Amino acid sequence: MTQIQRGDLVLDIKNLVANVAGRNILKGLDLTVRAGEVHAIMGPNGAGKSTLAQILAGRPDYEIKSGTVTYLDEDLLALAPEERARRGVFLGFQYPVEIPGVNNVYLLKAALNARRRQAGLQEVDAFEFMAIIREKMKLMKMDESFLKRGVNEGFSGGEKKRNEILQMTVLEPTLAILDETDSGLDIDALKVVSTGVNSLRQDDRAIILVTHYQRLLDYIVPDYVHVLAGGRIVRSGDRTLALELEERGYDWLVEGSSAA
Amino acid sequence: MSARLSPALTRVRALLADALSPTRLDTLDRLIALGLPTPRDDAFRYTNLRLLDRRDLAPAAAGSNTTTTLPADLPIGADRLVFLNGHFDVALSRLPATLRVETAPRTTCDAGSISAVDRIRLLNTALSGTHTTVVVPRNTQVSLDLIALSTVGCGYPSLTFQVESGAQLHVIEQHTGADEVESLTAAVIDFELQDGAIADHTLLQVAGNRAVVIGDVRAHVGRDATYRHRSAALGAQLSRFDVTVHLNAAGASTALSGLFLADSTREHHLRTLIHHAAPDCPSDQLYRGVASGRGRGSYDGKVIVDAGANGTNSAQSSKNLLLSPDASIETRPQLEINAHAVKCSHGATTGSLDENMLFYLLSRGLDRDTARAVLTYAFLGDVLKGFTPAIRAFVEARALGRLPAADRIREFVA
Repeated sequence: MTQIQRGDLVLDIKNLVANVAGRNILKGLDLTVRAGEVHAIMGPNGAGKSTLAQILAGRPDYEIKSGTVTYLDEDLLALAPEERARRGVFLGFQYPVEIPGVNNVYLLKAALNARRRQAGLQEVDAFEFMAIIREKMKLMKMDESFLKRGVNEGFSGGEKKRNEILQMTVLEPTLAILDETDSGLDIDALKVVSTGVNSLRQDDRAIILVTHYQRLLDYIVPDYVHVLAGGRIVRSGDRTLALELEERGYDWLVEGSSAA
Repeated sequence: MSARLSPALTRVRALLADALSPTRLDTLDRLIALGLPTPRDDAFRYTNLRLLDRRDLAPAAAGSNTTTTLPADLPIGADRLVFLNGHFDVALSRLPATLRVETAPRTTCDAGSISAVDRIRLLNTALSGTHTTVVVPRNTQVSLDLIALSTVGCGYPSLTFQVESGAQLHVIEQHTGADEVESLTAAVIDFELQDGAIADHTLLQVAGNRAVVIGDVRAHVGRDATYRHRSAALGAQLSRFDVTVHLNAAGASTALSGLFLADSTREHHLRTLIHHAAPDCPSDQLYRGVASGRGRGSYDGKVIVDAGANGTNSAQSSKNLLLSPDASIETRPQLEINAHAVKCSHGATTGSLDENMLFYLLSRGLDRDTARAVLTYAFLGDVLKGFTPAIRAFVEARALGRLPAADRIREFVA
């Protein structure tokens, strides 16, 4: 695996058109994300933000009508979800599913080793893994009981989101897509989650934050802010765009989009 | 209802006409008149025994096999009661001194009106050589393995456990045998629990691939006594177990749990009947079934609460997982409540693997086969937790062997 440098192209989406259950959700979306960057994708409800996140992770319920998605010189859409994960694509779910009976730690160890195998690295054993996870749990302020529990089993909304970020810090993805990670978090949990995400801001990694609210961006300051409305990116800018959105809402952009 | 003529019964009668005692011949004739149960009998609506038509039902003669050792992979404790091809085998058995064991020739079947399940009992009575009674004396504790080993033909074990007041019995019943043997085991096992007695009954069906295993288990539970039953059906071509529990006096309780894995063309059928005949009796049922390939299964569970059985607390859960489009599992939880002041719940589901769970595991880099196997294994978790560690390890090893990607999910097994 060649070393990824700051500024390398990580994700290049061109004219993506996608349907869900016969309904056209993405209508020609373009987005370019480079290593070292944090992009925030904002927009009104129903604009297609979560659809984009799910398509990038490979959920099968979406029908790609046209367009291309290139991830590190590969056709991302041709890869199965598990192949994407092993190549460093990570989706932090908006609604992480509970899987009773499947232990958190075993899953995360298997996930890490699947990624390491793909990268040609040696698998970590149980002992090495426990050292890694204990360190990351400290960062995410998660207590020991987590080690014994089923995946998200009986977790509160905040715990589930924290668990997603914990997984991300262990898996060290090349492209992290965090879907509404801030929703349902109180201010303390938001700070913890942000600390976890910020710890991963590095030159060889890109992060896409999908969010409805500006609030998260006070803690994870993005390099770029995009507004997704009506199935495409209708405006891109820097951090100040998010502040403007907070003040003015989305209507002025959505109207512009439908007129376009 | 007209009886379906069973060619196998007619054949066995012709074969044994001179060998059977008049009472046993009479029992066999009663069964021939009634026929073996068919799906037209409500209790057998999901179980078709037609494959017995082609089989030879004659019991293996005592001593017809020279086996002197038990399969090495069974989780066997120190003391055991071994039935070899249906016959109590003294040489292979090892019994604790506290236990009283009596064997007597089988004479009659005392059932008045004959239900479909009773007809299995008639078959057992007609063709089983002896009946064994095991008495666990007052205030003693016994742990015992009950092994039904099929090496040839058919076996008809018949057994009663009498657990006297304050006594405890732990019994692990195992049905086992070689894959190439076209065997039939039709076992009848009764538990009679006096006041304050406990019977802990584990039933492991790991019979050979061409075996048919039918079990009729009935427990009569006295005041403050407890009958616990945990089962795993993994082997055989077809297995069917009827578990009937009569909670006869106040404070009697029962907990039944079990799992089955019907892979390939295997069939596993379960029928339970819990009869709350007295007040303040709790009962709990937890069943999980998995079918793959063209496997079939069923859970037919009934709870009857008599008038006057107030304070009944009964829960029933049957969840089933289909891993292929050609697999099928029927589930039918039934409640018949004739008392007031009772708490009864039941839930039953049959479905395929949860797509959201599957996608979550894939999105973390697990391949599809591993993800499916992990979710299947997790599905059985609630029942697996109920077994003792040694039995759990045994069941897991057998169950995992039936799942795709078994080697890859071992790291998920705690």
